[in-house]
Amino acid sequence: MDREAFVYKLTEIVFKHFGQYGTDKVKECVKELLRTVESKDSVEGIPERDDKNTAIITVFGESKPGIVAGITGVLAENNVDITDITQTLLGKNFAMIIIVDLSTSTKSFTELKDMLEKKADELGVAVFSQHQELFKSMHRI
Amino acid sequence: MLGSFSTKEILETIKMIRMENLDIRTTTMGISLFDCITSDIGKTCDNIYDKIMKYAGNLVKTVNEIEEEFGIRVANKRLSVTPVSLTGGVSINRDGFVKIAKTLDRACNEIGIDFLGGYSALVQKGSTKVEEEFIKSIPEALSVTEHICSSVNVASTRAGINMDAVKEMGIIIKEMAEMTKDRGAIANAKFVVFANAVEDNPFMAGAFHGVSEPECVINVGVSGPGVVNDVVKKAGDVDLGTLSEIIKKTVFKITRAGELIGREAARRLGVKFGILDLSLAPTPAEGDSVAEILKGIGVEQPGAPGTTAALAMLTDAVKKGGVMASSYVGGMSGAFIPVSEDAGMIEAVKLGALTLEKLEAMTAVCSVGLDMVAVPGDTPAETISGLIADEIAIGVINGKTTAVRVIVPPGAKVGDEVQFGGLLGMAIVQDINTFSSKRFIDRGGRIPAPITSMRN
Repeated sequence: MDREAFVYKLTEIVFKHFGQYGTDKVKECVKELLRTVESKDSVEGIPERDDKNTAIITVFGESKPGIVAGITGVLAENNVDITDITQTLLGKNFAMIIIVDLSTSTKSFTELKDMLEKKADELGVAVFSQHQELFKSMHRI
Repeated sequence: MLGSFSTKEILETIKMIRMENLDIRTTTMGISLFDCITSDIGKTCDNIYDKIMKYAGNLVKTVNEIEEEFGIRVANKRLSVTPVSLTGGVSINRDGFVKIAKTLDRACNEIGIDFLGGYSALVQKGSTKVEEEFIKSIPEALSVTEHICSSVNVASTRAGINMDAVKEMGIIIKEMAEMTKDRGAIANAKFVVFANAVEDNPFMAGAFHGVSEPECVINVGVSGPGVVNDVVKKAGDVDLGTLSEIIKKTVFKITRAGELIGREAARRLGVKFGILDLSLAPTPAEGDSVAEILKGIGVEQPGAPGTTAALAMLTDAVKKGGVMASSYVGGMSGAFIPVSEDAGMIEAVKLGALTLEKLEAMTAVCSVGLDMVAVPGDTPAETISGLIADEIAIGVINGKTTAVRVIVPPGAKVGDEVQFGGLLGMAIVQDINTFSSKRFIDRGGRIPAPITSMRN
């Protein structure tokens, strides 16, 4: 749908529900809606990213008590939902991969990333947080 | 399985990024300067500055955000502009061009980027009066600025070789070396002579925003010699067909990462995505070396017999893997062999394994040419021109891009080391044939386009 058609459609909907408040009110409402929609980064012609709320968090380090609790604690504090989790031990080394859904997070991705890194420092492990799109583009056609 | 990925896949990606130097080598924004031209040089400079700030003001910030989110490093954020020789207007002289160079340099400082390419001229068939002035301004422009990179296209398969320009190149290369001799002839490292220059190359020093390019684009240079090096090492003693297949698969993954970053950068900056350049571009970092890959394939040192064939296979595998991974492949797309920027190449030169002549042969099968080689300071200008002519002829006859970026540090002798620091690395002054090319170069004129140019 091009912009003109989109505006038309939007006006039609607003008019249907709030037409009784008069054309001026409808116009104002449509304008405000448009501003909100267009200020989000939906640049014309470039599709929105799909699945931008899924991130992959990888934790490495020497195995010891408290790593899982520490990392997942940070996620819980910020209302981040864990959708999948796995861990493996390679000798004494610990590797954990957590897939999270960021849509309910109270923090932005970069803030969350910083908090996780701080926690990892305390625990003496390394943590990498990345959007899952990187993995998708590298491993799926 | 985790979500839709296996643990192995996730760990492989992390390993590539953390341990094998996988990064996106450059995100280069190309900006057209045509609408900045006025009849007044002061006004033109103002327009250029404003336009660059408008499009690229947020380049570094935006790309840094993407790095954070995807967890992959973008080593360089850079700019390329319309060849400056075409943006001066009609009444411009040498000083006017230098003024534009300084304006561009100021914009780079403001934005916080290390290099801007496009102080360039396209004179493959001949030069206009303005272009002659422009070429004469290059040595000064490169010595008074910090971030500006320059290139001159002196030949193409369609036009032949402009030997007058080739002669002039030898002279200005010596001149800019002299002007920056206190800094290891650094101006030479920022100047490239091309045959068949590409208009959408994101890599420095040869990047410029071609005349047929749109208003503003994002071009991405992917890299990853470290990653390829690692898989070649791990492959063990497999035959060459199998090895080529392994390289192809790895390059596919690297390229997909680059495509993702490029598209996301273009989206956030609100400009078009241009192309992805697949070149393997080495850095002085440990293991991030094309020379190491060649050694992994099986030659004791780059330069040993077999090197050209190994490099040909590598370049071809890189292209085949990459082309499937991106919708728009462009730029140079091959393997770079800049000597000073590749620790393994430097070692080969030190050991005497890699000579200038062997390097020239290698450039026939890869991109891009005699790159970052140093020759003695007393090398005459016409010998430099001869070296350029040879390299350019390889490009013209084979219908490919070739280039020369040669450093002639005044006073330097064979075996001396020239330090540039950072990405430019360290060069060792190499032996160059001392028999004269003077009579050949002095003839001037234009070498006609080869028979292979007649494809219509």
